[in-house]
Amino acid sequence: MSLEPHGNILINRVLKPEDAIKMTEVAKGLRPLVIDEELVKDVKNIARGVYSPLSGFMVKEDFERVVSEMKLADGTVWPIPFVLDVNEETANEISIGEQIALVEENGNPVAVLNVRDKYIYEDGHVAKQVFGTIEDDHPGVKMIYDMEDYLLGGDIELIDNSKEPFNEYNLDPLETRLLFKEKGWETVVGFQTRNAPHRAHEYIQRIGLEVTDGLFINPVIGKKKTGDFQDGAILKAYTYMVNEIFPRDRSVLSILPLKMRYAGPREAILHAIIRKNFGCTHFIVGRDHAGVADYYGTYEAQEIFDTIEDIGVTILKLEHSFHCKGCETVATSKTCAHDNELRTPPSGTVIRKLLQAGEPVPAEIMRPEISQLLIDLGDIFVK
Amino acid sequence: MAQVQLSDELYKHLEQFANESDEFSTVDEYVAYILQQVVDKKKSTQQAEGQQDGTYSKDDEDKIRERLKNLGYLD
Repeated sequence: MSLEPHGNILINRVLKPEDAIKMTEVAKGLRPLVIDEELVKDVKNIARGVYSPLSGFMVKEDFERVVSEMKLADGTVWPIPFVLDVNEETANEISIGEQIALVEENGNPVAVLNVRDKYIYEDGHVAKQVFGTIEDDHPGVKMIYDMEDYLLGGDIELIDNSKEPFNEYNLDPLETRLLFKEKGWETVVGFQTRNAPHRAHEYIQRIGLEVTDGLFINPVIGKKKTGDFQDGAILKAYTYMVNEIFPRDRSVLSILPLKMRYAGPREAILHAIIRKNFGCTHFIVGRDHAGVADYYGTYEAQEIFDTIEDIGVTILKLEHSFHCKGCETVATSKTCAHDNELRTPPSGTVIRKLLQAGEPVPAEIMRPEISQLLIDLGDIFVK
Repeated sequence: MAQVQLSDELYKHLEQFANESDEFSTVDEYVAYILQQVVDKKKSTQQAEGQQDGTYSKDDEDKIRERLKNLGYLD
């Protein structure tokens, strides 16, 4: 069984190398618009089909329906706006129908945008609808408030398909789909993470593997908060897991360069759609998925899937897991009858403190070899 | 910017529609918008036909398989 991509089309707006060379020349004559590295990620993800069926930045019709109803204009479920913001002066200079060059801060042309729409929006309304709050303490809301006043919509054509850093871990949906097919996987469970693996993660991954043919470990790579694991450390640790712990023919590690919006339930839908596009039939959503502070209820990111149309991915709604001295293994509240005193949840703060001090994390929380690997790497946390 | 020629009659119709719209301040913007829709639709159709919902040509598939082998994902 090969799961259809979202919207039944796998977008590919990556120019072939010979066309990219020509377009690079064309782009030199176009109006340049500098985009930051987070927008570069979105541009590349759109072009590579990660956000299928999006083929560019949203036009007003799609944007407004996504904000209010979590649907694209054609009715396809879509939870988060993907937009390109510009200030009023730039918006006034750009005409609908114009092609503009999207360039990195160093001037490198990334893509061409075929401008189909320009429009304004009401940031408070967007924040309230998408994030459920208008408080700018929420990082996603702050992103909305920090945006310029105008949005440009239109399809993109990707010139720069470079995949650094971590090229060797960066697979497109076309690639993962072929890979899963070659491996003979009919069902695949996607696992999202922003951390090095501990036992509770492993427990959840094993649950996924028990009910599917393959495990797709898909860490989100990119901008992180101080104290988070560095991307390289996460990849090293998971490379060990897929090479040494899980059956080698049943697990795949590949990264997802993506800006976290911390939109909780809406973002959980986005994450599931992205994994569907990679070819996953199942996706793990834990408690507090993609949330921040206490803006969302513990189970909101799981419950939202019961309120939307079936997006074609089976959601594995799992509880937080912990080590239990009574069970002598990792368990969840669904599988363990013991009191809290016997349970040790994997505390990110404790793990970080121990590893920073060069001390191994207790073996019941993190595999000793993972602890040692991280200690040996040295500088593993974002400063 | 390229220029195209339109009949006077067609131009007048377009001018009237553009004037009645809140979104377009000139006929040029209106025409560019319409043509962009046509181009996008054509591209989208071509892409759907070419990709057949996530499949790819034999040549593309071979290149992908080669990359997956080079990266160690496939034997």
